[in-house]
Amino acid sequence: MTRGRPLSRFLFARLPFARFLLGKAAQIAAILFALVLLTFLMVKMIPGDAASRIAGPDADAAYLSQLRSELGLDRPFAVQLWNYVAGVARGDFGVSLATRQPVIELIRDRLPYTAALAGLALAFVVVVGFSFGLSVAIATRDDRLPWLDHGFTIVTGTLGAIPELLAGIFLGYVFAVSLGWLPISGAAGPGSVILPALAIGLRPALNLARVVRVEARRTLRADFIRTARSKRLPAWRIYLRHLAPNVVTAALTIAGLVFPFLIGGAVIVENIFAWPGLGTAIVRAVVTADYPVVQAIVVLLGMLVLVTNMIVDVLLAIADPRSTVRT
Amino acid sequence: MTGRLNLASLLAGIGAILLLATALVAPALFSDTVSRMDVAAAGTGPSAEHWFGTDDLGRDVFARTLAATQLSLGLALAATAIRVVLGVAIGMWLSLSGSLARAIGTRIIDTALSFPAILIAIVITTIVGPSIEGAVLGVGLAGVPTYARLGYTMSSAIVGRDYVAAAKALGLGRIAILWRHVLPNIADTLAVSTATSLGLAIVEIASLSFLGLGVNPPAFDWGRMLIEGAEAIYVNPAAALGPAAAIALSGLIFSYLGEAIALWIQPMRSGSLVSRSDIDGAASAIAPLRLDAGEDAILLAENLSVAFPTEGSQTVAAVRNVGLSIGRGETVGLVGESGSGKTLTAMALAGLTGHPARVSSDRLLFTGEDLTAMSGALRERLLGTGLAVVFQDPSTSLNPALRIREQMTEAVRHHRGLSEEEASALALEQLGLVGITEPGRRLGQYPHEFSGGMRQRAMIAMGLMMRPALIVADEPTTALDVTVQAQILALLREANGRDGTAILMISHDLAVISQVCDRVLVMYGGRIVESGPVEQVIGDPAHPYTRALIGAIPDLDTPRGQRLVEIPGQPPVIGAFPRGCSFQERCPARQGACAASEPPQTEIGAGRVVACWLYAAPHAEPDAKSDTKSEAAA
Amino acid sequence: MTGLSATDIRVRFGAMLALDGVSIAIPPGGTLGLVGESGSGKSTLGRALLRLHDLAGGKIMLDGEDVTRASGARLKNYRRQVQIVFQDPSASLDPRMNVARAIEQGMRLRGERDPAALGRLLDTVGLSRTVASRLPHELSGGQRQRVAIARALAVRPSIIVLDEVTSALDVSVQALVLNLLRDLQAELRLSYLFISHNMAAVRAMSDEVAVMYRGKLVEQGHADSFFAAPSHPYSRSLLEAVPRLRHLREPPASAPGPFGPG
Ligand SMILES: Nc1ncnc2c1ncn2[C@@H]1O[C@H](COP(=O)(O)OP(=O)(O)OP(=O)(O)O)[C@@H](O)[C@H]1O
Ligand code: SF4
Ligand SMILES: [Mg+2]
Repeated sequence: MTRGRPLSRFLFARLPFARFLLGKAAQIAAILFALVLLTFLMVKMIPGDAASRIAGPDADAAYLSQLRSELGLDRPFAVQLWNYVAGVARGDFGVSLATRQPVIELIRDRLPYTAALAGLALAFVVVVGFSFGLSVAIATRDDRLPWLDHGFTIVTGTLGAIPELLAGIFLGYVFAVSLGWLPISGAAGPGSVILPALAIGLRPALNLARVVRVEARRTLRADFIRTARSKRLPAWRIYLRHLAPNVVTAALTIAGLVFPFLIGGAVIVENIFAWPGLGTAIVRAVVTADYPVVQAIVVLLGMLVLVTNMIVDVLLAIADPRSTVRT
Repeated sequence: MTGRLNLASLLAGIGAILLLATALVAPALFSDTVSRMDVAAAGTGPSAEHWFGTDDLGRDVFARTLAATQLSLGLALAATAIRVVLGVAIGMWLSLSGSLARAIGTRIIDTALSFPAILIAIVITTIVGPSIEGAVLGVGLAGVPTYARLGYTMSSAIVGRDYVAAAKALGLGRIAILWRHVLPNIADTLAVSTATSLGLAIVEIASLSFLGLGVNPPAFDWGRMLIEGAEAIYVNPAAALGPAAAIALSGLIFSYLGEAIALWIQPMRSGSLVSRSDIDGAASAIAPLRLDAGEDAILLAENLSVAFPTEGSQTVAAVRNVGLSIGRGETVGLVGESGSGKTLTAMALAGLTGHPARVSSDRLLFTGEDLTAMSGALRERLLGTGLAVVFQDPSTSLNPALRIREQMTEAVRHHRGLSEEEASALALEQLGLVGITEPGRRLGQYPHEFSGGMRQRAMIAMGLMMRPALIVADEPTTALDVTVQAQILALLREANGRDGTAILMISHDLAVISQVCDRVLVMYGGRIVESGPVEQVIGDPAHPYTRALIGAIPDLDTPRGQRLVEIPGQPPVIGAFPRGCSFQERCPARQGACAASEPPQTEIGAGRVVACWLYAAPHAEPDAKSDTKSEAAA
Repeated sequence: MTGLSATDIRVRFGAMLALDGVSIAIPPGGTLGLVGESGSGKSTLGRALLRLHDLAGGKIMLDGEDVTRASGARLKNYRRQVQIVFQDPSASLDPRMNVARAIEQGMRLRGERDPAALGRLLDTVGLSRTVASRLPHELSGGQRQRVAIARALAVRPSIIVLDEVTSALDVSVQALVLNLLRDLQAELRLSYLFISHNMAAVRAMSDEVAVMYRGKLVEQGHADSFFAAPSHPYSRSLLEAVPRLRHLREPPASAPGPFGPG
């Protein structure tokens, strides 16, 4: 065959891009491995050992040794490590000490809830943050409308400083307890996700709006905007074609940074609204010393963050014409 | 120190002091109230006796909230100390390490940064066990990557500065450099972020306690109280809202405290512009202007001024009473030092000054039409098709996110309604004319794929797309190397010769102007002090400033060792222009009249005008005439 | 051999060879002008001479002593004899250090304890003694550059690297600094490496001229003969491109330079 197939031709033309993707994947694999190792060491580093922590101070020796062999603590360190890593690679995190249920089943039940919550919050952050910040920047360009400028700074500075914990309690109090518009706990229908998602997304959304506005203000003063003005282009063209693409890059970078915050926020807010996701599960597991569950959720949430970061990196590489991976 | 104190800073300062005082005295003050159970009143709402109501054991929520300040604040302080000390130490150590250690270290820090802090804290609590120590350690260590990053970034920035290089060259050791140059220069930012971080730590500790992973009974902090309050939120919301308000308030106090510190230590910038309206007002009365190119000029401005508002509805003038005209196909140079007002003049002519600038003129005509009397849309059309601007720095004046094709074609498509193909064909032709090879391929590229010289060629080609009557070029070669400069200057001459495009070229370099222009205007302190044909102005400068400048600039023909003419003093800055002639403080020929009022524009030969009292006709003495005029204008 | 000389200097930044075998000698008591376009390696060479960059190869000799690998006290001693003044005086002065402290730092390193020495040094560079307590932002650009020169002089160097010292200054202030540098040279028998992209300033200052192009030295020679008849084609194109105040309007250069369009 003399003609290459479309896919290989595509890959050939995009060789730097393919190399970039491969590099990213390798990086993720390395970090993931470090993460798995870390969760293994986490249990190893518990003072005394995990079994005595689980059994409590006055457990009898027979129970302790049974627990140790169940956890595999009686085997050599290297074997324990190998078993753990091999298990994780198969998706096997062992059995929950509290419920005797395979950990992977618990994850399967709860992951969708956390993913929905974080996804909705992310959408809220990106849409609200970007459009709010950009429009205020345009309206206050060249120091116009100083009152709007002040108002924006005060609103984003104050509301943007409210941590998830308090946002959750206040929102719950106002919209669920006082007004009774939305459910306060559990996952009863689609309305239940609104308050937790708002509680998580409010702070990052306002902070993103701030960043977008600063970035847009800076860009509006850039020389190339002056060039566009000197061509007497219509306003929409200046803002949408010349300004927005240059701000998107910055916004995307921030959105990537925001995701870990959303996951962290989810852990807290799920506990306020009794949302049946991974956040409530991990907290209960820590309190009850259910280590296999803690390990699994740490690895999983970490992976979620890693994968999101990779997606953002790839999007950035595509959006920025200066990045070297495009040809 | 001219630290600014605003209301928010003041409140934050007072709040922080109150908070500290509460933390110190409240536990002792309420030592028995906090645990006294008023079983009869358990779980009731606010009352005169219990301001925030009681919890489900009947304990007073208000007293408990105040008493919990000590533990909440103390734990946050401990956690903050861990993250700041450890993090900054790691960051500074890294910034001084070898390149491999730096690369690996920053990688690890960045990876750690991309993980949710609460997850790191949970891992640490898992190891230590849910407890106070666990919470402090967890919150503290989870923040270490942030501070390592901050410390690294700030320290590296300072280490890379020229003054650190100079200190190294003096022979200062590492410790001395860190101690004398790095630490003083990062301490302020560090103080700011420590204060802000304290607020965050309060919240994070409370969050851990709320999750049951921090403070446990019988001890209580705000987070612990929040659990109990949240469970009873339907019965007594105040039991949850009380500690929540305490967390919110202290978080706010510390975040504003951070900003207050930042404001206070901000290195004093030169004060805001001083209004000298009295001085400028006197100067605004001037002798009639000479217009060099006659009434058929494509551009004509009379008494053009640009001013900026200052505090209190006054203005300072940056460009004052400039008159100029440019004939069809004429090449005119505007020369002057940095800050003399060249760019502002050009931008005012092109209608491109930014928001605070106020432009005024007696007349402003472009191709014979009065720009000031025209509707906005019409003016945009006229200037959009007739006038093009080439800016100083081609690497920032082209949009990095758009292809050259779009940037070159968008204006003709908008103003002339050309189709995409027609516009592209025109762009291809123009790129070829400015000497860019393979224009077809180049059109599809982004600016960063062009070299600096090529970008400026593209800028010129972009300006020529519309076949404008006038190109305004603001320092078009200042950012370029001298060999490239020669090529760009040649291009401008070519465009002038080929299309008859008139050129207004701005430069601080008289020699550059002499390569392109027929006529030159010399600007100083916001005014035009001399104008005339280039050869005459250079060969026989009339104004004392022009004369001194030509003697002060070394030329390739200046013999080695020849002493350059020194001009004492500094150019005047906007807001501090002296009354009368702007050059008087540095002028060797100053006379009595110079400080009294502005010298009139005097014609001293064909097309040559000078604004200097040395040349003023005897009858044009500064006197009642100009004073009455200024009053009439006021 | 007296004076400062460098042979076959190489400096590498990552994969890029910023200096590729450069050899220069600074004439004792005279000035070597170093020209070339931006990015050609002029400043890198200046900093490399002060050992502010790691060398990938080459040798630096001062008064017959090899200082290429000098460290500790020997390096300190070397650096006291060779000083540097940077382009942007607002970046090369610590914003939080007043004039007196900035200058005294160097004097103390030299062991100077005389409190009057500061005043004398300020006089030398033509600064009023009243500026001693000012911070950099309270000075004009020309004054700042004088402070930077005074700071370099404080350790009594014999050689000063002047890296684009006038390009951040107003044109009407440049002459003052250039005249000052020449006066100081005559008075203190200083040797200069005068780095500049401004050919006219180099012409006014230098006894010898070296031309750099892409990390290499393409020509080096006596100033008068260089400006009269540069031998390397790149030097020639460089000189021809300089706009001249008193030679008006050469015919439009139709062909791009020998190195292709910029
Ligand atoms: N937005 C502004 N607010 C206050 N002052 C301003 C503003 N823009 C410009 N100026 C001042 O107006 C004066 C003239 O500025 P302009 O940019 O025209 O100088 P220039 O001659 O072009 O200088 P350069 O050679 O540095 O480009 C300067 O003192 C400048 O600081
Ligand atoms: S008006 Fe007076 S001060 Fe101004 S330049 Fe002329 S002689 Fe000098
Ligand atoms: Mg300018």
